This record gives sequence, structure tokens and C-alpha cells, in this order.
Amino acid sequence: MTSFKDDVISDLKHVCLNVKFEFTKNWKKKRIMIVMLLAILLPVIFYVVPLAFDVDYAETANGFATSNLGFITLLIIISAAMFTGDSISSEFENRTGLILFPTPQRQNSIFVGKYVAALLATWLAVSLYYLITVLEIAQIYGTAEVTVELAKSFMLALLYSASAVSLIYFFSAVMKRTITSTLIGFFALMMILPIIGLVLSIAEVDPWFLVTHSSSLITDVMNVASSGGFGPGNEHDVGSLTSFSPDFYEGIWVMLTYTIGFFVAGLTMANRKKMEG
Amino acid sequence: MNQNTKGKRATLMALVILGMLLVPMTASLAQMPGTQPTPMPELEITEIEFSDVEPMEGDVVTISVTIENLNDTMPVNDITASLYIDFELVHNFTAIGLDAGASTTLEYEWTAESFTHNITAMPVFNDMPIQDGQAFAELYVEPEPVGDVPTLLMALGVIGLAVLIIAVIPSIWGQIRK
Repeated sequence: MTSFKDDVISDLKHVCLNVKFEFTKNWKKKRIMIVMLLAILLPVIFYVVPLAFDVDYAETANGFATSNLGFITLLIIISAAMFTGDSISSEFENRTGLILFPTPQRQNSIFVGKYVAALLATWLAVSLYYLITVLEIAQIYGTAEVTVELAKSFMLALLYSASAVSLIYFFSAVMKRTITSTLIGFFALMMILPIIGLVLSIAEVDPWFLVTHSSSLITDVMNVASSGGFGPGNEHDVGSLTSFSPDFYEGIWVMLTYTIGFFVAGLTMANRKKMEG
Repeated sequence: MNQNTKGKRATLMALVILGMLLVPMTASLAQMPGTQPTPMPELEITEIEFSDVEPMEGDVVTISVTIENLNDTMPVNDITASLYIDFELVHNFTAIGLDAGASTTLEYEWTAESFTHNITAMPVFNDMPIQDGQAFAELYVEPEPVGDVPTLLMALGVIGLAVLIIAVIPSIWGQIRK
């Protein structure tokens, strides 16, 4: 009879084993390579293009970082969809679960391991993106211009990554086919939620509960664009359209709720799912 | 003949009446404003100053506007100085009187909003803005820092802790059932 401590250690070891396995799988499928390449290429464009066409960089380092980070959400969504889209559904679709599930480890550890692996891979891509941005800022403006705002933006990007991974993980647990879960997850974050947010803004309803709305905090914290301030109900007119800025603390709560809520829901669904045939 | 004389008299009478009507009309027309332009006073906003040149969002900034009567001979009364922030009228300093060649400084307190603002002041006399006398200044208001690092670190910690607890939940559940 094993003790509670041994049980916990065994669970954690299994999770680590699954994380390692998922990383190896993603590496062999060249997914990590593709995402890392994107994480390097996207910020490099903002450095090279002005240089090539003799255009001035932004006046301030934060201004440069803001334009550079305009594409971080795109990288997060691509990365989350690539690493998470098939994490659960593939086991059922390709029937690899028939080999994996009878192994002497809990199904819970397998699915938690898959989640952690997808999250770490996405965080790695985000970290690389920020590292390149920091190097560019240090080269153009000097190391003194690397501000605490950039650190806040980085942490918000990590938070948003976690909520994006959780949301797609949930779709992966619910859907039967890999392609469906990946595409629904990708389009939910890329189009569906932003469109809902836009429609609500037109109707002058603050879309504070949408995670894509909170994601704009990643660039808002840089304090550069005249976004009109922050806070619930903080609205300002852009032409005839009213746009809302997310509140910092509210945005964090929303991202945390999406992360934990969809992870738990996805995990529960996955643990209850049965192999058919 | 009689009829001819009568006609001449009637014409003369009509001319006299017309003349009697026209004289006071022209006199009153001459007194109407705009028909004979009043010379515009030489007023100019000579300075716009801020109590804090590097304010933070939410700070109360005193905007000082100096208006001067450039004419050395003629005093001007009932002047208005209009203050615009980002081309929107925010305040009118009214009933200003200036002696010949004199100047005065007017103050307005404004709660600073973030980012760059265009502050314009313009003298107004008899409801006519004196555009040549206007002045403008730019003021950058440092936005208040958004959020804080400890909260973000805590949020990331919560995610880590949640994943850790969820990973060992079967063990915890097993222990409870024992």
C-alpha cells in the first residue's frame, strides 16, 4: 500500500513524463521549429523593414515595442492551436489512446501532462518573441530603455497564452476530430470572439467578459497609444464607433477564469471520454 | 396751367417727405454696429504657462494665460479670453479690462488627462475672436502606470498552483476515500 506522498510524487512524475513525451512529439513533427521561426521572424520584420527602406523607428522604445507587439496575439493563437488543438482529440481519433491509456499511469496525469506541454511550448514561443524585441530595443534605444512596462506586457502575454491554450484544450476535449478542434479553437480566438466584441461595442455594451478583449492589455500597458484610459465603462468614440478599454484587474480575472475554468472543464470531459469500438 | 403748378407742388411735397424719412434712417444706419467698423483692439496672448510641465495623469495643472493690450494709447474693457484644450472650448475668462500697454495673467485649473494636448488661448472682443492674438502650447501628460508586477506574478502563480493541484487531485481524492 502506497502512502499519500508516494501517490503525489508518482502523479507528478507521470505528468513530467507526459510533458517530455509531448515535447518530443512536437519536436519531431517540427511544430516547435515552425513556431520558434515565427517568433523570431515577426519581431525581426519590425527591425529590418525600417532599416531597409530608410524609415525612422518609433520615437520611444515603448512606442517601438507597442508596434512590435501588435502581432504577439497572432503568434499566441497560432502556437496554442498548433500545440493544443490535437492534444486530446487525436488520442481518440487516431486511437492511440488504446495504447496510451492502459499504461500504469492515471488518465488524469496524461491529460494534465498534455496541457502543461502545450502551455510550456506556447510560453517558450512568447518568451522568444519578447527576447528578440528586447534585443532590438537595446540595440536601437539602449538597454536603459527596456522598461518595466515591457515586463508587465510579457506577463500579460503569458496569461493570455494560458487562457488561449485552455480554451483550445477544452475544444480538443469536446470535439471528436483533430481538425475541427484546431480550427474551432483558432477561429474562436481569431475571429468569433473579436467579432462578438465588436458587435457589442457597436451596441455600446462593454465586452469585458471576452478574453480577446482583455488581450489588448498586452499593448495597453505600454502606455503609448492614446487609447483613452482604462477602467470599466471607460469608453471613447473612434469615429462613430464606441470602443472600450479593458480594466487591468478585471482583465486579469477574466484571463484567470478562462484559464482555470476551461482547463478543468476540458480535463473533466477528457477523463469521462470513453474509447469507442 | 393750374394743374401743372399743382403737379409740381405734389412732386416737391413728396420729395420733402422722402427726405424727411431718409435723413433719420441714414443717421440710424450710421450708428448701427458693423456698418462703420469699430477698430479692433490690439490684444495678444503673450504667454501660456503650466504649473507643472511634466504632469502625471490626474494631476491638477494650473494653466496661466497672459493677455496684453499692445496699444499704448487706448485702454480696452470687457475683453474675453477663451481657453481651448484639444480645440474644445473649456473656459472663458470674461470682463477683463486692460489699460493701454498693460497685461494681465489669468489662471485656470485643469485635471490632466493622459498623452499630448494642444492648449490654445484666444482674445475675444465684442464677440469677435482676434485670431492674430492667439497663442498655443503643447503639454504631454504622463499616463498613470497601468497595473502592477506583483499582481501579474500572483496571477501566474495561481495558474501554476491550480495546475499542480489538479495534477494530484486523484491522489488527494484517493486519500479522502481511504
